[in-house]
Amino acid sequence: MGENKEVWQGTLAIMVLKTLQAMGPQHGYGIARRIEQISKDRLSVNHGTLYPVLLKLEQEGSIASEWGVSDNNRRAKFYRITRTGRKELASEERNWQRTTEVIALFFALEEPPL
Amino acid sequence: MKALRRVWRRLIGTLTGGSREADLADELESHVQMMVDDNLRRGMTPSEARRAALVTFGGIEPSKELYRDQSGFAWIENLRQDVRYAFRGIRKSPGFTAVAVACLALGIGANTAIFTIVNAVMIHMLPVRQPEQLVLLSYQSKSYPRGLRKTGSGYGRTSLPHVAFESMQKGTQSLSGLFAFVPVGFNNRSLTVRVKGQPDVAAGEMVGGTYFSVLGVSPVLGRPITEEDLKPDAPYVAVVSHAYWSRELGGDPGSLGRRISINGAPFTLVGVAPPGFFGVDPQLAPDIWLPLRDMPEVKPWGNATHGMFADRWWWWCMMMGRLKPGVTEAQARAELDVLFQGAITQGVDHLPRAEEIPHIELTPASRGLEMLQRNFSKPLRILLIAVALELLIACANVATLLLARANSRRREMSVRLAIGASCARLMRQFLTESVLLALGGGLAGLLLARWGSRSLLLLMSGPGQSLGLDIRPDATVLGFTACVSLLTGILFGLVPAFRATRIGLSGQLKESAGSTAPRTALAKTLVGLQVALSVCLLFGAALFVRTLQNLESQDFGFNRQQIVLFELDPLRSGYKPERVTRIYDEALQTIQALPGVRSVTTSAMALLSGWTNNSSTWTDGPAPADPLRSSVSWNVVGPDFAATMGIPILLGREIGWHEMNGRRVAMVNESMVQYFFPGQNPIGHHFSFGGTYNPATAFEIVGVVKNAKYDRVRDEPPRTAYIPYSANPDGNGRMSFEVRTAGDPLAMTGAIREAIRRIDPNLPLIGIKTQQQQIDESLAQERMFANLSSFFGLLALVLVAVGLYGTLAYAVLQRTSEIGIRMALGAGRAQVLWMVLRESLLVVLCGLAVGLPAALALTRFIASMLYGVKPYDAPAIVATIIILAIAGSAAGMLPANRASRVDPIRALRYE
Repeated sequence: MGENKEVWQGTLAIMVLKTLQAMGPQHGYGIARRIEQISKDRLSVNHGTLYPVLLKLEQEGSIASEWGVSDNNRRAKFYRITRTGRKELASEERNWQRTTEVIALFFALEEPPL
Repeated sequence: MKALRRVWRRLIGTLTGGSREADLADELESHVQMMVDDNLRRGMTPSEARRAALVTFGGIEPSKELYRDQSGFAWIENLRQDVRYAFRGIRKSPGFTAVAVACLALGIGANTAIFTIVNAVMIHMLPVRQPEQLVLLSYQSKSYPRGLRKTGSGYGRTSLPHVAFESMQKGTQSLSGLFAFVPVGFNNRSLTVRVKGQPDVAAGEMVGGTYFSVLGVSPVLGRPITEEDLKPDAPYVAVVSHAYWSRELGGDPGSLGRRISINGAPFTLVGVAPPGFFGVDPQLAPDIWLPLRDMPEVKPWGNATHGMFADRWWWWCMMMGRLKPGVTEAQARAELDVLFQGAITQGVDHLPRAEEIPHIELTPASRGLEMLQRNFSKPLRILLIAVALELLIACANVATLLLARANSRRREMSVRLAIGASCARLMRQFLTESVLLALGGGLAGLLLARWGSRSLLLLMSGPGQSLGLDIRPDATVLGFTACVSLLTGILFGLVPAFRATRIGLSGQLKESAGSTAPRTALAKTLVGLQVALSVCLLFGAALFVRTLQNLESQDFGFNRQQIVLFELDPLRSGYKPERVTRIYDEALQTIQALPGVRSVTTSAMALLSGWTNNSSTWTDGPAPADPLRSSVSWNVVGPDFAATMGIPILLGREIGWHEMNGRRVAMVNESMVQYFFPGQNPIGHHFSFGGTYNPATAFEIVGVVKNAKYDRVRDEPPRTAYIPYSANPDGNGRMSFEVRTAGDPLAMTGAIREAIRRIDPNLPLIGIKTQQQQIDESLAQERMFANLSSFFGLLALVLVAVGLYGTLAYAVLQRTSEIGIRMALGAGRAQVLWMVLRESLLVVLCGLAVGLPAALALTRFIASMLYGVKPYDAPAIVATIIILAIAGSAAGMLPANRASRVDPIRALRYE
């Protein structure tokens, strides 16, 4: 379970960074909604699990936060991606592509004829 | 880099935990609210909207917990909580806390006190510049060079010829410096000093001109002794220790340049050594340093004879060197050996055989001369074992206390387990509490140890010693105490912690007090362990006490009651050697005339002072069978020695006044007669000291006395000869006077002092004490062991009794309803009493069964320190058993009594 979560947290972090890069500053709810929309509701995120990821990213310096007011006049904490975060995201993106390419090569292997 | 930044942020997060917590709550709340707003917009009812939002969110508290784990370091946060909680618990039960901390303070305090001494004796280096470079010179030879005369004080082969010093100092390339030093005497009363008014005694050391510079010690005031001060026509100068300066000169900076009289000669005070500098021998810290040169008034080792400096074959000088950086001990040894051999063989006609020529050896001297280490390493090791046992007992004791507490907290524990605390978390909580208690005990123990190590130092310093030991607690001692406290905290905390967390979730919550059997088996095991440990301590104490008793109550062969001792040293007050005998005659006659004096005599060595003269002896009869072993211990005495000391005369007569005319006569003891004249009448026979019988220097035996102890309390009386001071071949130096009084011996000291002052006001009485005090001093170490081991034994006994009492009292409380039922069914008071008492005695018995074999195994290590008792001494075993049985019954009596008074009606209702 622990390892699964780690993987999930890792991919969740990439999604958060990409979301913030694409949409600009967002509060936690906005990020959660956005991830659900982009994944076409195939991913159902427990919104609570988002916060440890946000904290970790903030501690690493990939995102920064400040309190602000939301569209419908609620006080909310807004997160934005930093320069470090952008670099981090770029390198994650490359990693991801390389991994999928390699994995794809393996799936392309055909069974030898009997 | 990323990881590092995260650690840093988390650390910050830990410290600012409170504000983050509120921040997070706000953030999550607004998140949920926004979700609720959206849901409402989709047309849900308010309650539906909130429920759906919470479902999607997935539990606010777990999220918070997860967040917290990452925001700071959870363990720091938990530790803070644990400590806070533990403090609350401690405040809530001050009685328990006080007892536990007191037990631990005693255990840790005793350990720290002993360790402080160990640290000062074994670990501290000399307070000089780079002590690790210092080496002590000594010699090594296959056979002892014949004709060599050696003066020293048991420092092994460190006495070297002074003539070798100069050639080694000049020739050495491997040492950055070499210095010579030698004490003025064997104790701290070696100099007679008059600063103002009455003369007093002080400890002196003679040092070469490089002593201070090579050690790297500069005086806080004035200048050190230099090469200039060693020249034959240089004025006499002296440097004093900081302590002496503060004590005797009032710490006055103006005392530089002041004239002080030392052994009757004027010396100029030129410097004050820095505080804490005690020379190079922690066993004898000098008060005064004098230049090492041929002076008539002050001589190395307090010798009276001339010619020490030039004599190639009289070895008495000690030397230390400082290795140059990068030079090994072996290189320096090889180089010095060549220089040394050249110096001692140069210009000598008949060399000793090649294998007899001694070689130089070097030993590391970062701790100075290691006599103190050698003398105390074994006693200190034994004491360390004793206090370690003590601490284990204290640990077991506190563990039983904690067990009882843990039992009463079982409900609390199961509640905490039920609402989701992990076992590890609870265990950590318990350990935090116990470590906190131990640290409290450690702090209190440090205070106890301050006092304890000071008392111990007093116990350790023998007569005439001034120990140069620094027992201020330093980093090593504090570190030791901290480690010991931490370890004990974990040790005694583990058992109850395991116990408390081993609780099934289900049973305990619904359990009521009366429904389970008392669980005191573990506590009883712990108490049994304490008994076993205390057996070791009590048994050791019994052996040491019996040793001291045996030593004190034995027959010394002379009467030790009502004798006062003091010493006179006329040479040190400026008398010429030929006048000394006259002074002694006069002193004896004056004291004899005092009212209250029964008789008076004098001797070169006070009895049981630890010192003797030893010479190989030949008689006018046949040559001794084994000349190498035919030595006799001899003492120079005044008239009426045997009568005054109460040594019975068996044959012939006592040396009296009429013999004090230079005639060479002697009294000998039985054992000398048995050795040299078996079955004969020795009266009229002659003996002489030296390598062969010499009629010219022979003494005529005029009397035979019973055997009496001479130098040591532990030794059998040696073959002894007593010769009159009027016929002393070596010339008389310092003498001890023995005055037998009619009443209290110490009450006579005023009159005696006055009588001596009438003879010469400049002649101080040195070291006034009774013969009994002299014996007590020589038994100081035995007494220290008897007292300390009894103290530790008693402490152990008290701890065991408290532990036993606590356990039984708790057991009785738990079994109240059972006891009630028994009584209701007809059990008598006596039966109940016995039931509880039996438990107590059973624990003691089990402890004894384990402890006695362990104790017997341990006492093998102290066998060499015992006297008149075997390590498996039956009376000591019986005494140990009886004492523990009494302690066990006493501790069991109170709870047993309470149990027997239980009112059945009430007990059955007791919940």
